[in-house]
Amino acid sequence: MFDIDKIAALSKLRIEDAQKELLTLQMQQMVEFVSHLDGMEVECENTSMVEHIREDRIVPSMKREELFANAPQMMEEYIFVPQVVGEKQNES
Amino acid sequence: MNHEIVTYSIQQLSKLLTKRELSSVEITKAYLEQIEQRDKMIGAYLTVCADEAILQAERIDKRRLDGEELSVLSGIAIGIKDNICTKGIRTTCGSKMLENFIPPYDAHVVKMLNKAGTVLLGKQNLDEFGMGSTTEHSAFGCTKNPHDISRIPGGSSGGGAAAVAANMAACSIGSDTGGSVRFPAAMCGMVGIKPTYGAISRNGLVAFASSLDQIGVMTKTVMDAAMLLSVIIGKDPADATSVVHPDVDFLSGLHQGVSGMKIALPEAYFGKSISPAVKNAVLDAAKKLQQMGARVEMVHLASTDAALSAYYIISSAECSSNLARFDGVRYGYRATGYVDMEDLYIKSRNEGFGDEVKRRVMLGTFVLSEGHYEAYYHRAMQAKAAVCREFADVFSQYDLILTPTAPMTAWQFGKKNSPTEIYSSDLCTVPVNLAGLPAISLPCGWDADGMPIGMQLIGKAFDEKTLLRAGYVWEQEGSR
Repeated sequence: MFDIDKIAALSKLRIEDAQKELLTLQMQQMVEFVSHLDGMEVECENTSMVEHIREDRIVPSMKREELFANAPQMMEEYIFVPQVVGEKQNES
Repeated sequence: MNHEIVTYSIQQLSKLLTKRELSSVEITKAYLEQIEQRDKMIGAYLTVCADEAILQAERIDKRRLDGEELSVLSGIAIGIKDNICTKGIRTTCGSKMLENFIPPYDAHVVKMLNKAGTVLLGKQNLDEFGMGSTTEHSAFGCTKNPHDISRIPGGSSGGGAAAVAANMAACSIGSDTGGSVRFPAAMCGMVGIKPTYGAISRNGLVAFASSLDQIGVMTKTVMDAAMLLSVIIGKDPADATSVVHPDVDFLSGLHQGVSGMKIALPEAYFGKSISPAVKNAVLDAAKKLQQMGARVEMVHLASTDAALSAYYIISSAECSSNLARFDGVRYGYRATGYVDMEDLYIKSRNEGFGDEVKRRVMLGTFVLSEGHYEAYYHRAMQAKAAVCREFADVFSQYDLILTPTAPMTAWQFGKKNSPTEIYSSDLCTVPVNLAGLPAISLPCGWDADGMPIGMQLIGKAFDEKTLLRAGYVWEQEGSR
């Protein structure tokens, strides 16, 4: 049985009650679909791929205001988020 | 005149531009007019950049008039999939999550195209974040197949394939994680090529499954694909997986034909899941290639079912990790009415992602979770190694592998409803991504309903040249 509530929580998602039955069924079908792996127990070998690490060099980065233009909520020059430390207060 | 311009290949347009018989402004306006007339019906574009396109075309025309030596792609009007970042132009990934996202930078591939002087007509529709094979999973409506608007255009780069098929762009740039360039190209009767993993920088391509994602192109002709690839292939320090391609001179060997080439036909790709019309068309193509001088032989490849499982495990696992960045904090959709930080994450993701994305994120989370990692993810990586080994064995004796691109032609909207039924249609394309190989989809006939059939040629790593060479001669002599 696919534990939809547990997996949704790990995925930072929340499944509405009305959707639960269909989605659980679909997820079970998907898990079944990806279970055809018999006979493939070969050793993973090192491929010829070489990791290329670029030189650790300072290059110009993007401007703060350009980057922050997409932020959903700003407070002065900071991204605004609900309180994460200290005693909880109601937000938003 | 305008309705004729839009039917030309890039090669034809480029010649007319060089001879100054046609200007880029004329070309751009012709495509914009075509989009205006047809896209209400097709739905290929999410954003049309009409004013910017005409301005860019004017700049190119002026440079040409000033006597500047320009690239063969200068003044050619193109479309780009909406998961590839374009500076100052909305890039949505077909998701409510990025509905208002305006990238502060251009993707590497966009920079290369700008440098070559192409004109951007607009951003094209896709399945949300590239997850799908039908373009039905876009938050902004589905794209329709120009050959029959009651049918899917394929996906996930469905907007791009449909735009080229409906003469609404000279070519389209897409991305291919499990067939997302080749599959829609086949469904719409176009040429689609996914080069070798590492050939084109993915910097600025919104990541879906990083070990599989590759940028590709959809065009009317093989020559056009070769011209485009020559410009966008290359190493980029910003994508550590990109490499220096050993041979990008795709045009020089294009006319050499298939004489003496050894082509493998894997029997597993012609089994009962392949529709008779597709099977016959591809086997017929094999016969023709043989008549053209290639040696075609049946070979055994065992791992197709396992490849499909492995693909959906690996791609979903990577998707769950890549899409963790969409949390409503720094950019993208932020829900309102949250009570704390955790609630902000969950509400934003719940409201920002569509159902298919949620299913993939959850499948990915499941296969990576405690108690399931070994049974799923680890075994999928083993299957991936097995797929690579099988391909390597075949390529030790053959130059190319010929398969159908898809088991069937484009189906009618609503015909396939369960997610797994749609996943099965990726049977022929996903093994190629697991092995990182280059592959091209070429039109090879029509079914009884008048829908195009696509065949796939798979090549050795970094041997796009042989793929294009075989594709070119097929297009010139075989497909008639």
